[in-house]
Amino acid sequence: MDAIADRAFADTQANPHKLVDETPSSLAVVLDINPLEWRKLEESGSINLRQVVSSVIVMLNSHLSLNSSNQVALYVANSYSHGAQLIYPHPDSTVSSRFLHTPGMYRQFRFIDGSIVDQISHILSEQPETLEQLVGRDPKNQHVKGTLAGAISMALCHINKLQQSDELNALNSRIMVVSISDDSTLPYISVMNAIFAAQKMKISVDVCKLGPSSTFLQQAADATNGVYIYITQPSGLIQYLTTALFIDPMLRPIIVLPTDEAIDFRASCFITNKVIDVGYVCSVCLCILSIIPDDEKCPTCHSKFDHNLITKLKRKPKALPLKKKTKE
Amino acid sequence: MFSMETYSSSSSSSSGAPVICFSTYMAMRTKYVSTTCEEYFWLHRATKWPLNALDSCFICFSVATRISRSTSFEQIWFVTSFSSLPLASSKTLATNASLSSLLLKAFTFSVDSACLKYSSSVESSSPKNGVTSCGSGSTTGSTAKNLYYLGSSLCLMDIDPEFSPSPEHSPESDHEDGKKPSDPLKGANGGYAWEDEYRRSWDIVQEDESGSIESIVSGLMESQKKRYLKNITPFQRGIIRTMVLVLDMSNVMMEKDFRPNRASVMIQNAIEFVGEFFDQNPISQLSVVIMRNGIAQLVSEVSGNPHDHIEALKGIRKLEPQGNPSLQNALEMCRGLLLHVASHCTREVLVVFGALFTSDPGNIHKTIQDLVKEKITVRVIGLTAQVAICQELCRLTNYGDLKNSYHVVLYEQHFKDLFMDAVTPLAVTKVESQKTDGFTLVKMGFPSRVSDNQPTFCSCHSKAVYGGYICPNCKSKVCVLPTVCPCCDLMLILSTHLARSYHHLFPLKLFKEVPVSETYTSTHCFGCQTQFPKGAKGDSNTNVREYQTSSRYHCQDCGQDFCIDCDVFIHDALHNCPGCEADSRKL
Repeated sequence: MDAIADRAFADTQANPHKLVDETPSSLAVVLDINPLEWRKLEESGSINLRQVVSSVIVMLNSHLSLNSSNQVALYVANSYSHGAQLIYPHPDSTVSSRFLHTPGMYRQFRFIDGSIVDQISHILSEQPETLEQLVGRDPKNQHVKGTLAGAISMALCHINKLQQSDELNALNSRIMVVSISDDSTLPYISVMNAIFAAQKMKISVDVCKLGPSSTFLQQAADATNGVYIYITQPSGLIQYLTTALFIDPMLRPIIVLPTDEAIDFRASCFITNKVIDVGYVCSVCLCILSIIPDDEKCPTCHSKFDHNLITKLKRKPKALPLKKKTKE
Repeated sequence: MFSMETYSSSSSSSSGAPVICFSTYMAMRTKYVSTTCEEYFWLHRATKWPLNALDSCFICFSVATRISRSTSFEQIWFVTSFSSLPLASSKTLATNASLSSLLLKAFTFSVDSACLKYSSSVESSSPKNGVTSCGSGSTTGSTAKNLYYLGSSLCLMDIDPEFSPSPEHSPESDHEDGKKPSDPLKGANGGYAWEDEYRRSWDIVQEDESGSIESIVSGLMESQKKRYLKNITPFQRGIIRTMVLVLDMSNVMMEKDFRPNRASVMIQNAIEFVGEFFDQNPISQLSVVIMRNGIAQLVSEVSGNPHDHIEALKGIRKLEPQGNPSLQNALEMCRGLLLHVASHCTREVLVVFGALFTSDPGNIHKTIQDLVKEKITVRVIGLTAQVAICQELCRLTNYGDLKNSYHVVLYEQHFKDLFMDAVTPLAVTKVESQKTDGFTLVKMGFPSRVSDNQPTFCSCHSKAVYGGYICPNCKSKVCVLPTVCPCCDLMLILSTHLARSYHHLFPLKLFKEVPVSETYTSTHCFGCQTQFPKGAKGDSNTNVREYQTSSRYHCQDCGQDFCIDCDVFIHDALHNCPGCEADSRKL
């Protein structure tokens, strides 16, 4: 009988795999709803927003069904009139009575589905007239900036709060971004700041990429041990979401991530906003320039550059930085 | 060992009631090692002394015991010197640094003839950089050696021309403990810290109308979190840095005031520092030097690879601290290491200095002048007390800015914080920026990463590797970044490396606390969507009102309100305002 109280016996019960499974995790999804990009995508005939939203809802539900303490959150970004916004769990909404009667469906799922669809259709219904105002007047839509960084920042704030509360500090978190816009809409510094914050908090950022590919999101996934997948077959989106993009943070050290190894690490020029591979860097503020400014002053920090050096750089740009280095 | 006899004899020899009290108390302390409340109160009643004074006596005594055990000093010195100590409150004494500064005060105040004779002998034997020659003057015998060890702190302070040797000068200004650099001993009310009224937390916590203390407790908690507030003026900073980390490995680092001892705590902190330093300053370079046995030893060469330094630091963990430190030797080595550094990089030295003296081969003042000439900035983290030579070193190499360059560790967390302060790049001073005729523009390449199925040789180490980075200029493959391309000499870095330093340059504006009122416009924190507490009236009690908060922190650019947790997180880690970023309108 004493053998039952033996340590070896007790140890077998604390199965490490069980421990892994029991840890709850939270998933924050950021959905890019840039109207112009969606329009382009729909016209190409590959996929539309409705299909993506329904796939995302399936993903959220399946995440919730894995563990009773799992949590989900959904943010939208790049809306022209609303910017970045939290869709679910919406702070103001109460459980609507029509979601209470749910024959044949788990009530939590019904509630999530209903509130997400309600919120998104609410945002989209307001979109057309504001869109006309914004885009119709100005074809380059100069008045609108990308808000993906804002949505990621909000998600990070939310996760930070969850991690600080005592009972949930063991919670694993990850962020998934469904992106369709290209890099020109991303504010570079904000995105980078968000990436580093996520990296420090050990939160993976997974990227599900539709439309044109994005260098910065590739870098985000790379820096945070996340998955970057370019969706080649949009019709099978739900399969991507529930397999490759469904890896729990606890499993990441074990699993070979289905991500792209070759990554474009180019940076964006501060003046022209072009993506470049060789550039000049101001030694004071580290801003990246593709061209030497005419006034020989840094456009961001206004430091004056060494005139001699500038003329050298201009005359023989390839050989002379080398000479400069060997001299000193 | 201490005994009752020693104390009774000392108290009888030196006059005055306080000393008798001391000796009674101390004799008692030797009998009962553990501190009990009754003991305190008994003594309090018996002697009519304020409790904090008793406390300070006890702490002085314990320091004295510790030092004298290891040095076999004459105990009487301590007892006599204590009698002239100012009565510091227990609050100000709770830290190592102030302990040691008290001990120093004991020295400087000491009227014992032997002590004076000793310090004068030091002065006569070495007018310039006393300690070295003093060490050679009093050579053998353990007592002499110990005298030399303790006396050195005194003689450095006294001999330095900047500081008058008169005892009434030293206790006020020489023993800063780094926290409030202007006049650290001054408390909030302008008087000395120990004269401040003690604020009891139970006076502040009071029930509101509904009988709940929840709001005031949360206010107290918030006031603790508010400490992150930093200076957010965007400075020009020297982002591309070259730093030499100088670690003290002399035998004072065996002291056990940090557990297990100073040396291992220092090395542990240094390892964390190296990681954090390269995390925040990815294009910077570092080197590690230790001071041991009177010489400076190079632990790791100047390089930009954090792993080399961390391995080297792990290697010196097993090394036992030994001998005397030599600040001059270390600084000369730093000069040599920083000689080739390009003009667009900063040259910095961070010294962790545990000892109170330095044993130098030549004139350290000359070395300091050379450092100033070569624009090398030196920061010092002292472990014991402020030392005049370090003070001078920091003042001269930082354009007189002693406030940010010289600190003495107060407690273990403070040690870590001081290390982390050095991670932030230094601001470019006005004097410096006026001197230079222009800043450098560096040409850099941003390579792309490739992954091959077949391993190929990299051009930097000639090793066969699968993946790698392709230089955009000459298309050669390198395996680690940041580096200089071995073929075309182009500086290769990741753009993410540069981006990591941006928040130093474009700091986020601080949020403003919303004043307490009965109604607020916002109900939820914009970041985490936590519900805010409802509005409340300002309390009539000023103590309470100070801790009442609206719990809302307002970003003036986007007009969103945040809770304290999000505010701290946003300014500490994220460096992005979610409200401003979530707004799609361009400014």
